[in-house]
Amino acid sequence: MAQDYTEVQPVLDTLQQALDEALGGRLLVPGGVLEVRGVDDVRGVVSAAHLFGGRVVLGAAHSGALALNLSGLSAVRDLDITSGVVTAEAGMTPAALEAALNAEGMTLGAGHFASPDGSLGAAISAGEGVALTVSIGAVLPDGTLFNTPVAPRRATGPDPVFLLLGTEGRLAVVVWVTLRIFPRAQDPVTVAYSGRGAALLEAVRLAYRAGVRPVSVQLRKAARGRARVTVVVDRHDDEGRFAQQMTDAGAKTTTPDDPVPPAGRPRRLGWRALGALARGQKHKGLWIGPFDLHGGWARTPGDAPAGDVHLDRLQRVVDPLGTLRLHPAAAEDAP
Amino acid sequence: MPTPLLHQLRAAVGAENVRRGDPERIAYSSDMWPRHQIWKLQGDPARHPPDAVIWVDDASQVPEVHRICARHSVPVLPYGAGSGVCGGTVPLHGGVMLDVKRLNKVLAVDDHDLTVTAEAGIIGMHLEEELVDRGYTLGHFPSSILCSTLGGWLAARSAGQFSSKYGKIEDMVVGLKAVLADGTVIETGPDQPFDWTQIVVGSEGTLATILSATLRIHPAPESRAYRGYRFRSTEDGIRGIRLMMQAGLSPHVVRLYDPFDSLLHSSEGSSTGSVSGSLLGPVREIFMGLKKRASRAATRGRGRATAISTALSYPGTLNKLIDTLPVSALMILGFEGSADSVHDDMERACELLERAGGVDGGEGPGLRWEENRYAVSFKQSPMYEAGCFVDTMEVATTWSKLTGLYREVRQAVSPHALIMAHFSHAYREGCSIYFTFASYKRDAQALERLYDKVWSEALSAVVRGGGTISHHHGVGYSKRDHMGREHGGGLQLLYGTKDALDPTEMLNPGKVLPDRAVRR
Repeated sequence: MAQDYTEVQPVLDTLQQALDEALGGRLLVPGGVLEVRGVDDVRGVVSAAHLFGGRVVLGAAHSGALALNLSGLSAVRDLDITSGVVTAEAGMTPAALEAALNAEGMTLGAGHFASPDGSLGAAISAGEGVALTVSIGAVLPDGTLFNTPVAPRRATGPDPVFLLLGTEGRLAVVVWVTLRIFPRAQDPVTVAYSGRGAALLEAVRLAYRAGVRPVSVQLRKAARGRARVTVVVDRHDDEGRFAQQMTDAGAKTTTPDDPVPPAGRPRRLGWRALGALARGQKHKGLWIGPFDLHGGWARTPGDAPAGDVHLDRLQRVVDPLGTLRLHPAAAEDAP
Repeated sequence: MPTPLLHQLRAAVGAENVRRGDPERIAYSSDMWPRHQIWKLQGDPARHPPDAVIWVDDASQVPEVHRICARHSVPVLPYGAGSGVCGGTVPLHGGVMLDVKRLNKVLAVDDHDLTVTAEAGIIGMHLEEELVDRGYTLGHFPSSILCSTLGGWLAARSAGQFSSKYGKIEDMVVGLKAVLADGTVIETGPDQPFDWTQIVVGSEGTLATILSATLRIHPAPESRAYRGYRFRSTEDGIRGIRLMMQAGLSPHVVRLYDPFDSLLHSSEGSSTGSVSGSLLGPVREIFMGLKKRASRAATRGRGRATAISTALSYPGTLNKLIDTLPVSALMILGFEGSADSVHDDMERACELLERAGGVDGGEGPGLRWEENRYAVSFKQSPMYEAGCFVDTMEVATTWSKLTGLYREVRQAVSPHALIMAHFSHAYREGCSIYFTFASYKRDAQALERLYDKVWSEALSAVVRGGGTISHHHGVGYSKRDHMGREHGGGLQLLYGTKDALDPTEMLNPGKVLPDRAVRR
């Protein structure tokens, strides 16, 4: 059950006082929504809730909880074209970030985020953008702000990024993210093919095995085992070699569209596992992409992360008071 | 060590596989952390011996070993080949060294998915040889490949010399099988509800004992080519690497040596009759001893030892002298793959390097490097016997901060130690810098204090310069107290993970994370 603040008026008063101090007099009451202006707002509300037994949710108002709307966190904090990385706040949408990058001749690449108009923070918390993520800034349940080290690779213990990607905000509120970016293709050619899903997938595998390296490939499964592959290539020799593999697989060219991946936890799978998904009767709407030599990132609609006993234990250690109930539905289950 | 514990361990793994003698305890008290050499100079060859060393013949024995040690509250330290250089396997609190080297089988090779599954104790070169026999390569070639294990690579987030093409070990691993402190066996990977792979990887034995892992492999290359390039400055060379990586090229090797390091490579194999050559002769001997083959003869003889110690007694002056030498920066570049792709990629790379001011020096430097690439620092003892310390530090940052980081560290270390560096392990967004430093003190206690000072100054400079304090050596014991500056508040998540998976701190205690008393 969610906390009933009416029964703990003294605590509520103290919480309200703490919130007033944190927010400089801007009003936030349990059940209300704060339009966050900056990261300090997030820290203030979370730490006040942590100290005084409150609950924090993201998004819409929720009875008994302090709700934060992060859409005001929508700035590009740093664009480092030399290094090919951008740091964007969690409330920014992938579409807005892509537009900002395009203006600088850069791109995130295709197929990383399911909802162009959702928030980056929600997408990262859902496990999207794994291949792009270099670093994450987040607020812990006690209000501590931190960011994981920004480096191309590191060997400083377990990688905390992987405790934040896909854990649905159970351990921290994501407030910004540093992502890899790429120069836009010089002379991109987009081609689409349709055919049997399993055959198309095998053709993609053979193309990668033959050394073809397209800018992007996405496979989308439709009804009755059919599928469509959309490929972007930047070199004419790659275009020809990829086309040959598709032709050999019995694929037909079709009109390219601008598909958007479905919501769902992306999982990096090998070819064998991808093949099973492509051949299976379930998983209509299966999406695979980006690909590489060893397989690709698969999303199956509705594929939410299941429970994990060790993750549950970690959550209890990191958030013993249950301060973060970041999704309204989860708030109902708060102790 | 309690008798019941010993009995139970003997019953679990066989009496012959539980040893408590001095030879074993001394041998397993140290890894390749250079500080052990200083302790030896101080007359302390085994400062932190384990209580016992045990070997397992079968992965199924490991959970029982964990359970037994948990019942008796005795530390367990998973141990591969002991090639770590950060004190990651030092048994600070005694306990049981759990040697997994006999878990050395290749379990499966998947030709369709291009993966290999192997046990954690397999020596790197043995794994690679098995793959080569089947027409594949892992693409992971750390200089320690002859004396390091798959489990050790994963535990410390190892990088091989070909990482610019194949990635680091964490890029290669698909999933793994490991034993938690309480004996629970977990399997990680993308088909699990939550994928713990990247949490166990890098945990240096503090969260689990790794039993086996599945890794991505590649068709063995049919062709390989090298080229050497000279740049007027280190900065020009860095720009050249960045242009290549951001153009989507993946050289299997790209190494840029700063001027001093380049000087050593240039004079390799030739006599140095110049003034600078004779001044730097002893210094060259020290560093090339590390890079190639530090024979005891190199430091034998009073005259030579005196020359080395004299040279290293004035590191600030020596560093300034080196800065004045008109030396260019040497880059070694290599591509491997199909003959066509090697040719095409090399051609594109050369174009980009020449745009950055590089001058083609032919294939010689690359071929020489390849010949000596596994000669590593386990041959460092003679340097210490001469009263010197030599150590290395590998850091990384994004391209925009790379030159600043290089300068920051050089400036911080230069007054205390001779320093040089090379840039390798390049990525689209940044690169690693591998510093080597050396210094000298007559007295072994003073040498240790100087060693600590150099490391402290160096790591502080790394943090100021915006770098990570470790790119591929790990944290172990030597860098753990700097983890707060690396991770900031994120350290709470790492402590939380430890508490969730190993609440009694049984596994490799005192490593990776600072002591909690220090933290608080």
